[in-house]
Amino acid sequence: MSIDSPSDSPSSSTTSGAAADGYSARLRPHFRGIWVIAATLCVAVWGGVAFYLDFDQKASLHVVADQAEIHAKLLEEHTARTIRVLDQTTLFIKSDFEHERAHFDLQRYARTGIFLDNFFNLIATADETGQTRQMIPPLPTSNIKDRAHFAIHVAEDSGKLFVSKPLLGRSSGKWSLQFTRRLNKPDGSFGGIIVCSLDPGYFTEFYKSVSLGAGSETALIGTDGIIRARRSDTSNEIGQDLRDSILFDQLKSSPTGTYQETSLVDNTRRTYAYRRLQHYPVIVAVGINERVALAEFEQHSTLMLGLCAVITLLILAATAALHRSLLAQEQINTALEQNVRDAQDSADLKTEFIARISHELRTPLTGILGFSEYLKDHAKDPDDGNTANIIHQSGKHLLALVNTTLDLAKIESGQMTLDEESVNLLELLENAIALHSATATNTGLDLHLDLDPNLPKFIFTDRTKLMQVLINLLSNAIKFTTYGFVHLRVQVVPADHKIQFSVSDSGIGIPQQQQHCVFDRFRQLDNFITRRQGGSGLGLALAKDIVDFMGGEIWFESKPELGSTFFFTLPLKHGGFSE
Amino acid sequence: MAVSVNKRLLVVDDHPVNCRLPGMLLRDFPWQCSEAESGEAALLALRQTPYEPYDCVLLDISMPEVSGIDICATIKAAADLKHLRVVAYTAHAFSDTVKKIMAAGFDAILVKPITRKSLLAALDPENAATPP
Repeated sequence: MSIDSPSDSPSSSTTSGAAADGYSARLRPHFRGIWVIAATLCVAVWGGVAFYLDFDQKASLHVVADQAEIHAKLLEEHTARTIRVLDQTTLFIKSDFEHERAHFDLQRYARTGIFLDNFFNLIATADETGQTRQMIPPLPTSNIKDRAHFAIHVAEDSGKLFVSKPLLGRSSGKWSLQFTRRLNKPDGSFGGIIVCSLDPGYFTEFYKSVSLGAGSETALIGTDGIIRARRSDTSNEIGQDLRDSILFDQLKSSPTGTYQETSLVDNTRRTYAYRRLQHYPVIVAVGINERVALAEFEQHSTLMLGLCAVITLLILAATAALHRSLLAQEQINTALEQNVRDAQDSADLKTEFIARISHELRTPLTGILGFSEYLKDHAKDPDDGNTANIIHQSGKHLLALVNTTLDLAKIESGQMTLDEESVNLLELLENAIALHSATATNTGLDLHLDLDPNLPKFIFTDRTKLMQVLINLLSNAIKFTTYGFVHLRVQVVPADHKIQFSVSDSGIGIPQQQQHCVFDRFRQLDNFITRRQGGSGLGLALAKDIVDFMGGEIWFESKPELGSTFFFTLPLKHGGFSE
Repeated sequence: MAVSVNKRLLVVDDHPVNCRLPGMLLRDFPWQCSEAESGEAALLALRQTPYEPYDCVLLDISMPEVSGIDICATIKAAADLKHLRVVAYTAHAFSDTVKKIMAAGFDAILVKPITRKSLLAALDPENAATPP
């Protein structure tokens, strides 16, 4: 019904709920954002480390391959030289056999020490039937017709040295490699073979001396794929077949190279370098255990990955902390907003309440004041007229009280607003005086206005409130002054950009012990039951609230029985000084 | 004071005492007052006498059924009534409410409690008669 109720207050609770949801919805992308950033950071860290480790591993493997290659070269050199020495022996014997056939005596060489002692297991010749003929050292003869190294020379006169697979010597009873050449009869037909048998251990010993660290492997391999000599940590076994290994694939395209392979022999992954000898059907291969060679890298890698894990945990922890603090912040913000809304709702309710009270009190006062006004002028009996006048005055008093109380309530609930405009100062002051002139004249008081010549003509202020304070102070002064004067003095305080109003009287003054509570509510001199003067005691409290609200100050000076002066200042706005 | 043709005033207020008050205060003045206790009754009264039109309506704001604001809007929208002077007659005294009421199209506002002086000023501002 009432049009002035702030109609939006009942719905504000529902809108506030929606607003809170909207608020949290607004923050969600931030949460997503920080997690995306965290995930990106983690991916970047891991990616970077993976890239670095991959690079590092490749570089390390490259170093390993280089190392293997250098060793392979060394071994090639050694092997070639060893075989050349051996081959010289076979060539020497072959030449001697073919040219001095009648006087050929292998033992003579042994006696002259032309051959290196302990180098060969055995040097032997076999005739065209495979029967061994002469041997150093002299051992029981045997037939080697079935041996591959015999058959190959029967088949063809290649003029090349043949290196046999590791064999268990029939005469020597030892494992040996047979280096063989074909012996021809004077007519060029097959006349037997010369066999120089070498202990594979000869190579093995050397390989041992140039070991490339734990797990490494060195091998001498025939071009037929069979291992002739081999050294590794675990075994020196020989004779294994490597035709299926990567080595033989690689050999097809290049006589030297490197490759990685898990050994067919002992299942260890190694980086190999190999070299096929130029003049002999053998290959040297050096394999370095990757795990051993990369041990430093592995250590490095473990450290890096550990560090990475720690960094990841730190990132996640920091993100979680950030998330939590954002969440907490969000909750605080939501709570704060709720508080602000609650405060606003409560302020709205207060305003509505005050407006309602005002309306409800004014409605019956209208009848009281209106009809008593009519009656005091129209009563046939003067006594009735007086009675009506008393009702009218009481009603006016009540109305003033209602207005003051509601003004105080308005200020207290923060609902007072400043309605500033340009005000003709002199006109306002004269109006204030005029309102009290009748009362002052009746009492015989000297009521006058005392103006600073520098007063601006117009000031920027809230006319109603300034008037309210002036009326309050003037009526108070008149109320408490039985003879003498009431002066209203107005002056500019240029230094402070203020305008100062003062109301002086020659009234009863305020006793010392009461002076501290002059601006308190419902205070009047003496107890309110025994007070002589009218008024609620709210006037000065309201005046102080209004002056405070307008940005000014209010104070007083008083001497009991001599009079009081109430001062108040207001900020001087929009004025400037009059010319 | 020159005797003039009575002007006609319609007071609309659901509070019977306050409805009768303006008529009492205007007894010595050239105003002839009628009363209506609701918006509907007011509109009926305004239309039942086309041959003797009203000069002014005092409209209470907070009334059950239809508020003074709505009646004012109806009057100002009606071709035969829009020249009627419409004065808000209200106990709403706070400045923001007064502004709202004035914005609703009223010609003047008369805040309760009223005096004879404030009543006359609201009815006829140019000719604000001083009491005899």
